[in-house]
Amino acid sequence: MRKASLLFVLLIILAALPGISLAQDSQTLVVASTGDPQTLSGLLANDGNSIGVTTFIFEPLVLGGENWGDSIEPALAESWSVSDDGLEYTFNLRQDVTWHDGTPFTAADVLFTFQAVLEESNAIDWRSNLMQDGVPFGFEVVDDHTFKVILNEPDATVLTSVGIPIVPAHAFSSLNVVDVPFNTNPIGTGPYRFAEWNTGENVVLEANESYWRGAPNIDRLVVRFVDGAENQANALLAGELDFARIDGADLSPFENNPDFTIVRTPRDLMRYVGFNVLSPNVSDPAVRQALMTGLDRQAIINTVAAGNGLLADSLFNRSVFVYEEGRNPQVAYDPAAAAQMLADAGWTDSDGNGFLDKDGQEFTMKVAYLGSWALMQAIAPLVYDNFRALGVNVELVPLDQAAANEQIYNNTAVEKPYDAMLGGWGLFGPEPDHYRNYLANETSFFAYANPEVVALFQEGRSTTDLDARRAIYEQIDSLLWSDLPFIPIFQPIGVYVFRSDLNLDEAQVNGTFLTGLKFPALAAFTN
Amino acid sequence: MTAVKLPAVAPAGLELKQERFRVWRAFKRHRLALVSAILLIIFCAIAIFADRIAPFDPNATNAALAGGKPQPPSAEHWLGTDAYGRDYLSRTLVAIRISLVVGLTAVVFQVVIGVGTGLLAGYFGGRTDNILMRITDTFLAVPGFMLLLMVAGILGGTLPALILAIGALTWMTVARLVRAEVLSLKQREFVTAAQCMGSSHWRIMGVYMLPNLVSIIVVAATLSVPAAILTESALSFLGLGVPPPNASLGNMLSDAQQWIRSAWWIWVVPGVTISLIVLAFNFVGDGLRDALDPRTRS
Repeated sequence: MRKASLLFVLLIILAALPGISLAQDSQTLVVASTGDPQTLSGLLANDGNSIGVTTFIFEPLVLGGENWGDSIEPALAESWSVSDDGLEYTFNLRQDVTWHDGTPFTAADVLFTFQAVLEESNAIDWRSNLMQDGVPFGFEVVDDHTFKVILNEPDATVLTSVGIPIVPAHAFSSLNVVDVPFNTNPIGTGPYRFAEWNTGENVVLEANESYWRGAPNIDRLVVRFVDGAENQANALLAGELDFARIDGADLSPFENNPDFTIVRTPRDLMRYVGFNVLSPNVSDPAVRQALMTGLDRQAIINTVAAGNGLLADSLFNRSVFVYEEGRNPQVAYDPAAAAQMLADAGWTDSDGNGFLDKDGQEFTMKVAYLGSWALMQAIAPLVYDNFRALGVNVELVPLDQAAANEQIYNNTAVEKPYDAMLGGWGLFGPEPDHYRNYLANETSFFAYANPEVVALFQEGRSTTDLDARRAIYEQIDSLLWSDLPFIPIFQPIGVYVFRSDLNLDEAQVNGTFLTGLKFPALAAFTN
Repeated sequence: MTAVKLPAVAPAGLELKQERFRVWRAFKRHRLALVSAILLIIFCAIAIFADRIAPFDPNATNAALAGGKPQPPSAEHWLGTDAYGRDYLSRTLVAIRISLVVGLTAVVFQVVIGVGTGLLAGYFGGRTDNILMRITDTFLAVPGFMLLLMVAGILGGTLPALILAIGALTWMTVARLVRAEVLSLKQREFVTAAQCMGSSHWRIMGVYMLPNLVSIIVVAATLSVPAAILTESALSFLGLGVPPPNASLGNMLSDAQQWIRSAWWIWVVPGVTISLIVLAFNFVGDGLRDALDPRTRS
């Protein structure tokens, strides 16, 4: 009797641990993420943890938009054509695509997605993508597999603007996509279908056997939450992760270790010190230039990223199509020159207290950042010390997530409660217009809306001639470089570490986990 | 029977001196406590003069020297540097100051609230006692660290907020100890005598009872300091304590996490310092208790 019950208990334990028995299956890949996604809906995902999951589940019509890689490539639309006047884009949708629940994918889904994005109450980030001067694009469902986008005036950014993850119309009862069960139980067309979300632990995805490009090689993808590069490094060593990006962690256990492969590849991200350009102390571009000259950006790269970073020479990321290394004159670290520039701008230490002042006002600078973001935490002491060395009375203000959302990220007031902020952003893709919301918008982080820049962004969007566009954005690039609403510090080089028996090369690593999903890379995973 | 404890108002100068001498002799016999007391005096001196004895500005970075990795101890930097090239000795010295300031002032808060509550509850008894002790129980029932995390999150990581929060959430033990002692003091002849002479409640509590509570308060306070220091360190470790870039032993340990494999001094220095301070306070507390407690007198 006792033996029998013991056996029974054992059986229960075994049954309760399917993850463990499956984890030994060679077809499971465990990748790292830093924490729970905010949502599993591709439409709402705008943080790394969410996008890291939704990128496997959803697909857009065309790759190359924000979060969708560096180049324009067909996805759910297999081809497209533009009318002669440039006002009509006709997308031919793939006919062999089904949703994860078996329903065929049609143009009605595209229409629903775009309408939901335009619905103001949903407050979806992509909304401005589908509008021109406040007027929404027109849409037309020609037939089940043909979809038309109709513009009011020519727009060069349509192909990347429509890079929005498509959701199935039949899964929603109305245009409200915010408070719906779909957001924790998503249905997409991507190579992986959602299986389970164990809060605080992982999200499990299963291969979509009927994926239009062919079934993925890996049966199960476990996105496991391990916060912090160092913890991820430890988890890799302990065999709890198969693949993680651990730049910033101590790499010595992986170097010259045959069990692990290290791949370094630049990421479409920027780390920066943003200014509240309306704050009196930093409202003068000359002061902002002086601060950039006095900031040892290379030291920041060496300290917080172990040298894995590209010193920025543009406010645009390198993936933007107009980027050209060396077009803007690089700013070298020179504290003496910086001090002189500040003196020229009228800031001197007239009362001898060690801090600069001008017209009786001390140069104080409140630097806000998300304190729980380890990278910002790491950058902060260097910014503090560099600026203090110039005579700026810096106060670091680490904020928790809620306060950071309120004061920085979701703060649409023009008046900001900080003089400067530390941040990082990216995955804008090749289209410079995607920066418009931040660099020509007085409600964004920097309260920056230089009329000249605003006008140029406007012009750049409606210009379809590529050379003319290039000229416009080069002009914007130069203007921003002297105006400096933010000091671009560096673009990180991702340090990916994974089990050597995964046999990945740089392009695969880059394509898969850097900027959303590129299926061929994932299919190449072999165990 | 050992001597009845003398009412503090009664002893003449000579007797008081003898009493103090006796406590000192008893304390001295506790070797570990004596060594710890000396250590604490050194730590206090460090805390007071941290600014002046620190060889470098504790927040000054030297990225060129560090090259992104903590540098080992050298002739110039006796305890090495952290990954920013900040002198680790200077940071440790300043961190000791912050830890001690937080520990000691938090305990002052704790003692003021705890003694006040315990004294009132024990002396007046009845309803007052009931209400105050239920409040105490409520505080004891709440998981303290969780509450502290919340309070620290709301007040933000400023030093005064931290001190207040730690003090306000740790006074309950003192209150209970004091109340128990007051209950027994209330039955003593000198209190009855004072009452008969028409002394006011406040005078009896303040002048007749409080001096008799000094020993248990001192012991309880001494033993609470390390707890307060550890709490500050834990909060700093979690990023809710002393705001950056200022050093505290807790956030130094927190920063040390990623270098555990490759740079021993980065975690050994704050770790050992914290252990030494905490142990020293504990031993001194033990020594004081043994010396002051009549039951352990030989």
